[in-house]
Amino acid sequence: MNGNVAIYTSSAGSSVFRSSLASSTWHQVLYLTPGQAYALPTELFWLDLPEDPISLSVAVDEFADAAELIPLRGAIRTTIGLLPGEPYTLLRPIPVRIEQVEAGDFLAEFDEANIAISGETYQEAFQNLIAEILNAFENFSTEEASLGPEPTRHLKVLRNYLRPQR
Amino acid sequence: MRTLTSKEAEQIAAKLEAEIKEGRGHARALIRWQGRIVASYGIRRGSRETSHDYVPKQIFLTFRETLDLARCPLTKEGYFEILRQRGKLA
Repeated sequence: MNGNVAIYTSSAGSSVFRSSLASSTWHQVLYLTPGQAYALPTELFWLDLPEDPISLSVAVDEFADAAELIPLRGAIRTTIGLLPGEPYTLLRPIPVRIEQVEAGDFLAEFDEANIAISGETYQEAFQNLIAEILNAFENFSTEEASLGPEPTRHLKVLRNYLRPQR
Repeated sequence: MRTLTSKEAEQIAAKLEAEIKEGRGHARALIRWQGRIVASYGIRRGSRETSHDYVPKQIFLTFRETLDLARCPLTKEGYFEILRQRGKLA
């Protein structure tokens, strides 16, 4: 699965989805609900989603049934395609791997930059990874002259994906 | 299966005298050697204990070595010697 963006049933996650609808980078969608993950078998869907999280959850479940979505298990690959509200321009989607290690423990990783973080759900791990990537980018950028070999390499990788907005 | 806890992630940061930077949602530990940042990792703090099994890869250790670092057998000097041997300092 490449070029995915995620939608979620929480209020925070649904804002990500709405933002993604406005983005031209929205090609494939990975649907995540608590305890469930779905991959779309086709390229593009458009949904009118309700605002409140509970109705949104029902809508996503009904859509999953109607579209015969494929339940995912274990590790998934997706991308970070948006950074809503952040002062950065995304130069290209950031490839992400999210793995369920055990119940309530998910590992999200951007391997190329050796950045990883955990979360209690797919959604939380995904959101935490976005924060971790931006935190690392800021930490490394402000101390570029004081970086060892690995952080130097990681900052170079991050600059292939992120650029501060002017 | 044994997992690394947030407490152990904090213990490692303290042992290595890492600088803790607060960021979006969680803190990051910046590990320095001779003033240069040579490794870093995020520390998740919350009411529920969460796994920090991602830490070993980010500090260039095995899981066993990371546990040893948290629990004491592996010293700060020993850690940096491992990094030197693995080419992570030069």
